[in-house]
Amino acid sequence: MMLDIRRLVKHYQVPGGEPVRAVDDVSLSVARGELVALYGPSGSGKTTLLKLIAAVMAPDSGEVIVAGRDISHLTDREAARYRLCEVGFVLQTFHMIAGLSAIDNASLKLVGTGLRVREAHQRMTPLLTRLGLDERAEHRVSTLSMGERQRVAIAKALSTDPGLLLADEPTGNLDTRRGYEVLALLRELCRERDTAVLLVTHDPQAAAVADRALALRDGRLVEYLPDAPPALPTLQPQ
Amino acid sequence: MSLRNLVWFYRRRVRARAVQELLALVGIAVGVALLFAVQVSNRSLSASIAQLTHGLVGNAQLQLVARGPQGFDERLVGRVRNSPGVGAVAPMLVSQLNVVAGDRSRSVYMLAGDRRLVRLGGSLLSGYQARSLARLHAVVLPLPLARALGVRFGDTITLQVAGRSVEVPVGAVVSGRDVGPLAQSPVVFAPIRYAQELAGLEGRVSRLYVVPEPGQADVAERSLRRIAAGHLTVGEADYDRRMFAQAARPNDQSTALFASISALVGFLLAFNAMLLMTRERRSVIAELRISGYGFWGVVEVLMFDALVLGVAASVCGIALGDQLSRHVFQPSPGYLAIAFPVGNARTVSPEAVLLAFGTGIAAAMLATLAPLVAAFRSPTMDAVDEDALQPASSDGTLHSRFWLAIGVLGLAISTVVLVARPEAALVGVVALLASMLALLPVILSVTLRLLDRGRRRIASVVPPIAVGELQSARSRSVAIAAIAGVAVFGSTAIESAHRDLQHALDAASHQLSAVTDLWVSAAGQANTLATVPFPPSAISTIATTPHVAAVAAYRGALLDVGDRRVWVMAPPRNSAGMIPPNEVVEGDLRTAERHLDDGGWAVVSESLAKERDLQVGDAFMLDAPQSERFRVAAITTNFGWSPGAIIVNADDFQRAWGSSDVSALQVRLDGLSSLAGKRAVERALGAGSALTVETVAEREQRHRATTRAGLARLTQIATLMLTAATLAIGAAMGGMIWQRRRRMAELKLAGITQRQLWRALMLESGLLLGIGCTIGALYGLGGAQLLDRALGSVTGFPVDTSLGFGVAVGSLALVGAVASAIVLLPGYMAARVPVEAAFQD
Repeated sequence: MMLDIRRLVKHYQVPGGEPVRAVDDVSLSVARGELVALYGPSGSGKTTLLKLIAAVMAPDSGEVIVAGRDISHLTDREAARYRLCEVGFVLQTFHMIAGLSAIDNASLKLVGTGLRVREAHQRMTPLLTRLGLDERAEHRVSTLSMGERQRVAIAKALSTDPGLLLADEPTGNLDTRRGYEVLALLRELCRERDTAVLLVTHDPQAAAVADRALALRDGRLVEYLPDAPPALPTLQPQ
Repeated sequence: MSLRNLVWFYRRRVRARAVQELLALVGIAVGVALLFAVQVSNRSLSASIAQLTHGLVGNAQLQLVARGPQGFDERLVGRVRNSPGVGAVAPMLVSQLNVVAGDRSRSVYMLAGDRRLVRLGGSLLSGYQARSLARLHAVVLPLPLARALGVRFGDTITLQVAGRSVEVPVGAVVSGRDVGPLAQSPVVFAPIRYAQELAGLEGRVSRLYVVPEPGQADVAERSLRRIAAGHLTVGEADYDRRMFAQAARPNDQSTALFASISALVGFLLAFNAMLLMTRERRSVIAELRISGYGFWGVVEVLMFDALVLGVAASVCGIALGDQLSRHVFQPSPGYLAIAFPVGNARTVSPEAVLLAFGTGIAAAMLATLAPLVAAFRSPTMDAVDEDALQPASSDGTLHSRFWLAIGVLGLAISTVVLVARPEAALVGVVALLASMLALLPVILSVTLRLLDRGRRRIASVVPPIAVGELQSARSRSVAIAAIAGVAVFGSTAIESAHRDLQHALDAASHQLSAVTDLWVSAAGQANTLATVPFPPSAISTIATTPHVAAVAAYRGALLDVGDRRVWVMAPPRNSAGMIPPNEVVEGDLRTAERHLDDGGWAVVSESLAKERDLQVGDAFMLDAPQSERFRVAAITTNFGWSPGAIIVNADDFQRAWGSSDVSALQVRLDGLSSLAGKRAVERALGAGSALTVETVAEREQRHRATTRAGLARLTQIATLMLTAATLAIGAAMGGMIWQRRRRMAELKLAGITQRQLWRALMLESGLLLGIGCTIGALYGLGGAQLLDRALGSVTGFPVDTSLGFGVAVGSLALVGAVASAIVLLPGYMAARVPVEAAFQD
């Protein structure tokens, strides 16, 4: 298993109120090459779960095993290294450095690992080509469309070849068609690169591309029951 | 949109972005404060004299003025009173003296009049009882002066006047309630009879104010001219105000130039502060557009926004500027106090308030237009995206070429001015500044492009993040670099020119003073130029003192020539260094000294010669108490006395002034050091003497202190400008960094460490400040050359030109270091942003 979560608990103490059970005894596994969609209403604990997996916060109890290592109590330095090399993130909003080109933004993690920019660019070019950004690689991100920016974010997340990709509402800012394109792309890439993907979303389309779909309710993992099967758009060949 | 809705929108936005709004407010307030403080201090001196003159003369329209300190016969008062067209008259005696109480002393003017002066109806004396003035056999002190001397009603003080010391009682202490702003002036009041007795000028008056019969002003003036007979000056009642305006003009002009530079900095600070809010405003615009608001609806909301911020910031700025003008930019009379009873009253004119207020609001409004135009050019959804910037426009190259052309043109104009038309130096400074501002974006672009290439060879995320961020917010980067550039430019130019001027004035002072071993003159700080006369009786006392080789009489006075209160120097004949050699602008030094020694010749300063169209060898009439004909022996600088200077020999002076009084004694020693000689002469004069004995070094030091006080404003402006610019840069950069916390959180989520982010922020700040400050320093060196020329032509002072490299490096280092230090804190705090922030909506 690439990601193995065991009886994870995270409660928040609200001043003068009952503790909020953001993540309550959650156990979950994601295998290499598997895409798991995680649904849940606002406040269900999805983002807290992602933060725990990202080693942004420590759990009250339980374990987060990534590639066989418990990352739930890393030091700041270890956590930064973990996020740089072992895990990638794709978020709903993409706060990129507008003054840099698409390839510069996508290469930032690689440069952080100690590569020269030129070498990082060489390493990134095939991935950007794969993402259909080869002709836009040298353009500033401020000139790219929202869909293109999301693909740059995916390229950046995968740049260090992490075993695990965490995506938090990656289609939240995109229209249905572009959203589906991004989901399909994630699906393909995770299979090609044997990357485990945990996709936190509201998007009903995600269930269609995911290997498994789960739901979080009041901090607990429950079975995902879609209201209605999503109507998938027809993709035109590019 | 209704006002209520506008307020609702505004409150909603302020709550959401309170920190950014506060930073913008601080930036604008600093700019406004700088502008306001300079304006207030600049206008206070002339306002002080204007108030004094208007407040004293009341209904008087004309006056008869003596040309020398001895005044004129008071029997003329009756003649004038009975002349055609004259309604009422009021005589006044004015004497320069030194007031001593214990170990404290002050130079003041004694204004003496009688009930007729009070009846002129001047606002300053309106609260004063005419009868109480007449009954006094004492002097009246304004409250600030009494406090400075530590005396109260009934105490006894010493007046050092005309070389004598006289003990007098303090008859009253008056406050601003009694005599208005006059209380802030360096004056004492006395009944005229008593003052004549104190000054040893029985039966003499200095001036006579005249109220003409209604509609008879011309007749009265003709009567006065007939009585004056060429020995007295007939002038308007506010004649002193015009004299002061002329004397203060170089000071005002040079300060105005520097104030305009600081105003430009202030405006840039305010404008830049508004740029902090650009992104926030873009999203507001987008929100409004999505909600269906048209162009004018959005304009209404934004203008209201800018108006509220502009008003609030301007009010804070004016309050801050008010404090600065009280505690930092105090109006300093400096050298002008030598010839005018100028006080240190602070005057806040409505113009200064309006200018400062308008600048704050204009900056807020102008800065709002940029995001408005940008937002309406781009599609609605792009405006929602916080990271979206204007794509490089196709005509970007065209714009760069345009600014490049403007920059080169500005450089060309300033070079031509420097080489061929130094008298138009002010135009050159403006052209240089325009060139710098035009070239700055181009230079910043080229530098960033070079850095962008360089960073590709480095295996670190620090340079890409720093350079990328600078390229992201180009307009803000340019604005911050421009503030740094203008501040360093202004500071380098002003401070270099100031030092050059100070150096030249010090040299002139040395040449004037180092012609003897000791100087003996009437006590008092205001007697720096040795223009207060005293009887020559001390000559024999000093001449018989052991080790005194020779005593020579030096004479000098301030003489009103046209609109100028000119400094007349009259060194003794056959003395060495009658003309300071470095100050000769036209004519041969040796020939001129020979002519001066022969008598009937005068050395005239350049501005005076120009005004009267005089060349070397030309003859002119000097309207002294006795009009005398002189020929021009040489033309010189004005020795640092802006209205102008004239040198004649002491004998010619005695004849023209009709008095054997001296204004200083030059003592040569034989076999004794200056200090020992000084002690010997002081002993000979006695403890109660009203004369001061000074070595050359002490006299030079006093000169320097006076010129430094006069020029202190330039240093204050340069310092405050640097301080304000540094604070504003710090605030702008701090705000810029703070706004980026979310993006930094995402970078941290991508594995970039806090340390790397921190280093990137520091590199970014260093690059921006380094580029701005270096360009500012380089241009500042050119500006200093131009300002040297400007000061030379405007003030007529001697100016030594230097490169000013040290000042440039100092300003550059100071702004760079302090601004970086200010950015450290927000940079450090921003770099500590929790990674969790990346997940927040």
